[in-house]
Amino acid sequence: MNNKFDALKDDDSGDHDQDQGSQKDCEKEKTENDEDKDQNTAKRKIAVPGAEEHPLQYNYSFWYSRRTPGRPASTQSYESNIKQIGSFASVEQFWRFYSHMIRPGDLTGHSDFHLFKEGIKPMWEDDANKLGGKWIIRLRKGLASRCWENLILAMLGEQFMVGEEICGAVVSVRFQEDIISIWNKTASDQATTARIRDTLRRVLNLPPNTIMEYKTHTDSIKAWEDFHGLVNPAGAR
Amino acid sequence: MIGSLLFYGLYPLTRLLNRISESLKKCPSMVFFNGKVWDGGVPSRRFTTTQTALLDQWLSTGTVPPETKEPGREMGEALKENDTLGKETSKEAEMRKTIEEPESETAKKESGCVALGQKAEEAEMRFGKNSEEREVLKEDWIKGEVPQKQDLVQPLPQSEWTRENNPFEDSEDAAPKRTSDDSEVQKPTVNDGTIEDGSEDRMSVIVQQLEKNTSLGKSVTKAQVQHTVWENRAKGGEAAGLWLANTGEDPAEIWDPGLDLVYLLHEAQTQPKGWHFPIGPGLEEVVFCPSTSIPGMSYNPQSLERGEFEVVWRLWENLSENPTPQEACLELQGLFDFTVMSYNILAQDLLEANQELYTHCPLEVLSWDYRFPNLIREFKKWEPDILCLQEVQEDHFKDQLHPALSDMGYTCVYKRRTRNKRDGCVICYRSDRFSQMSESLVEFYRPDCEVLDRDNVGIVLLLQPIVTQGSEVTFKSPPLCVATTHLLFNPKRGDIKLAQLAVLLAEIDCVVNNCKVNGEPCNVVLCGDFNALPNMPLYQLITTRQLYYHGLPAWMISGQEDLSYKAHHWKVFAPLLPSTVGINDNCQYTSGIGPTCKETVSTQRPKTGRLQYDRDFLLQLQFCEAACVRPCHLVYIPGVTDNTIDPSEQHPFVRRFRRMISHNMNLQSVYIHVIPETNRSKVTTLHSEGGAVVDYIFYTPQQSRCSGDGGGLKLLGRLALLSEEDLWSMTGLPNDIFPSDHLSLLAKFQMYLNPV
Repeated sequence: MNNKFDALKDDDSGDHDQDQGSQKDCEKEKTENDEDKDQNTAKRKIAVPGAEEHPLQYNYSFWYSRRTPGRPASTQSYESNIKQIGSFASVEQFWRFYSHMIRPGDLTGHSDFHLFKEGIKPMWEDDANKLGGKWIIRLRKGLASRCWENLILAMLGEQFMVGEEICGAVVSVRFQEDIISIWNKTASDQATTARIRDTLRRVLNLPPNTIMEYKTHTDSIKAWEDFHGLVNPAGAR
Repeated sequence: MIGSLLFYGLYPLTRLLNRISESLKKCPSMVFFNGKVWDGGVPSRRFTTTQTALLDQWLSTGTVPPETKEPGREMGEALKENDTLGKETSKEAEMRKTIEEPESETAKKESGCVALGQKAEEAEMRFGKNSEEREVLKEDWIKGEVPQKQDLVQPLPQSEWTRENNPFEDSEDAAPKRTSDDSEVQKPTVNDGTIEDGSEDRMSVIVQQLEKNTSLGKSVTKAQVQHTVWENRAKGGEAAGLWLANTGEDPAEIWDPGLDLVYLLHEAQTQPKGWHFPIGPGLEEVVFCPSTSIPGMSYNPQSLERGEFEVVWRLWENLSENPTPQEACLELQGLFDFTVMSYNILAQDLLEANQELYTHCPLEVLSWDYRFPNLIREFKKWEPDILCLQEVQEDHFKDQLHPALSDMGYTCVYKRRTRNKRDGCVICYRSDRFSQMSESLVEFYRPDCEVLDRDNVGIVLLLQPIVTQGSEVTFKSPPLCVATTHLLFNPKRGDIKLAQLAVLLAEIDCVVNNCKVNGEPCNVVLCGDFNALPNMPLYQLITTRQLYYHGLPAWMISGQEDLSYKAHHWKVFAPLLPSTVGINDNCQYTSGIGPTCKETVSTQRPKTGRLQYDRDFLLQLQFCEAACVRPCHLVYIPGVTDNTIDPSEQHPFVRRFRRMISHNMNLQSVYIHVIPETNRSKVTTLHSEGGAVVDYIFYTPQQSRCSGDGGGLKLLGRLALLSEEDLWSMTGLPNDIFPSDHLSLLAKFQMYLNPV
């Protein structure tokens, strides 16, 4: 368990903070501690399944992000906007979190829930994600809550059967539509992505004509940079 | 009381008599000389204007007083398929004469038809005498149907009707009646089951066409066969008509009212069938023979000369098609063909315990010593690669079947029913074609569960096809999951059947999932005796993947007997299985790994041991005590993490699934089952209380031809079933040919291999 924690710290000090490379782990933790004590506590307290509980194959963390209106979107602001809500290791613990969270369909504004394996940050740049991609399904309003629940139950219950490939899932609440996506490690592994797609169809009970789009994170990053006209700051990648 | 009974009993007869007398009054038949010959090619009972004009013309050229009066008759639906007859040669006409006498003699055996035979004979004689007079006997047979055309004189392609549309007739009857055909088109004559010259060619053409016309997924319906026959015959009819025009020879036409009675008493019947006859004593060379030329064979089985050759009663339906250019991609992949047989062989114990079901059988065919060699002969005849048997008595298996099957190159997995039951299921596979990767012996019996208190069992094997091309292995085959079972018989307890099926499906699901975890698609063949009729709820669950069972009467699940008349039925309520069984409504083990889902021979797949939970299981824990406490370290974000739990709200998305049972496998029946309206529908089992379809082979059908994952099986062919009538004509089941009260089911599949 400690290993996982260490891995998380490594990740923290990895990608985005490299432009502030001198920052030490402890300093970063301190910063976060200032920002949100609870979150820090959550991170420190590694989730373990309780006695008589049903352990999950992996520990997972819920994250929440919301775009602050007016502020320029950037990778960094994305990271600072995303909050880890809590981690869990068993089915029962999952329900404790899930039950106390608002359903995605009832969220307001431009916000996202992320559910990722503990140790993987819901960011393209995370080591686990950087060669990966995601399946995207755009939903008309009103479907997000149900689809999200079915999606994460399938993920937690290891229904995708692609080994270690799954990284996490995201539901994005937008103005006209909602988007759910599931991320995996290796975008080039077509057998895996095909199996994920088929499982998605099944667990979400999607009509056959539903459009499903696979997007590699490399493409996402490029598109994002193009859109924002950003020149990649040295070291950000 | 008695009077009224008599009245109703005789009602059809009185109606018939009325009709006959009416028609006799209204409508004299006519005979005229030198008439043109009715071409017989119009398959309609109504006439076009040109045809009526033609008839008028004939009438004007010259008529003679009627030589024979013909009663009008109601043709009913029989005429829909009215058509010209197929073939005629003068040789056949001669043959007809020569065989006439014995035929009419045999016809006398049928009491109702004696008069007919005699009359037909007379007609034949007259035909012989009068043929030079170029006489055409006319008859207004259509009167009852088309009264406005009473005045028309109309030729009748009658013999065709008699033979093709009246299944109650014997071939012996039909032959003499053919003499009355005014279209002169004679069909190959059949005498006691032998096939005349010339018919063989036509049959082979039909078989070829049948093979061409049928393809995977399409039913080889009799209608298609029939259609082909009609087409051929229409052509033949034209040719024959031409010949007739040259010779101008017109046979007489005659009717017998007895036919009407037969017809009236007979509900509109289904179309005739094809038969399968061997050419010689061997079993391999067989000829497809539509029953249009050999009508009523099944009604007169005693006339078969068994001494000369053996009848193969079952037809192999070839469903494969030639690969089209689009399928060229397949050539890059290898193909693996295999056959699967499912057979309930009737345990001797059960036969002896239920003797009332076999009172129709000669005693000798019921003895095991008689049945066993026939069983082995049937296995050897078809040599299935996989053989799934039900009702296999343990001692017979150990002492006889297992040694015999081992000698034939099979590896067998046996599972006896639980507790004190002495029979069980077997799956045998040819050791040179498959290697076994895992084996699950499934017992449905759970002492603590009311719907699982019976002793039925199932077997689930995971087999790896052995693919070798020369010495090098260039292709890798996906594994094949083969499962068989024999579900509870009791027609009243559909709930138990459903529960047993759920247990078996969970085991199959587990085996299939183990493959999927390793990235291998796994095809499924599920076969056996399900003791449930086609399209009834249990069957629907298998083929449509889901069933809303809550509130269904338990008898309806299988539909073996209609018990709806009973005031109170046992009903099925959700949940079907208590959670202690560990199987959810999606027919999966809730713990992910089933109690019996073990891999005994694990060659290359390490056990993943993943903690799998399906949705329904996870949802069961949603409102558990632990889940209702707010986590102390849950970050509080207003509008995001401030939800409160209201267990009473339950789950809005779950409700609609609760009373359903479902599974994840795509399964389809090898046989196409029609709703059993008449006793002509095909059955898989028959005893003295009737016949039914209760045995099936289900398989994973192919999704797309060139799909990368190579999943699915292509159905190449199957051994056709027989109808109740067919079987009763051979004294029911078991008999001297078929050793069980079930028929064997046999299917040939093809799977695609992937290059290594």
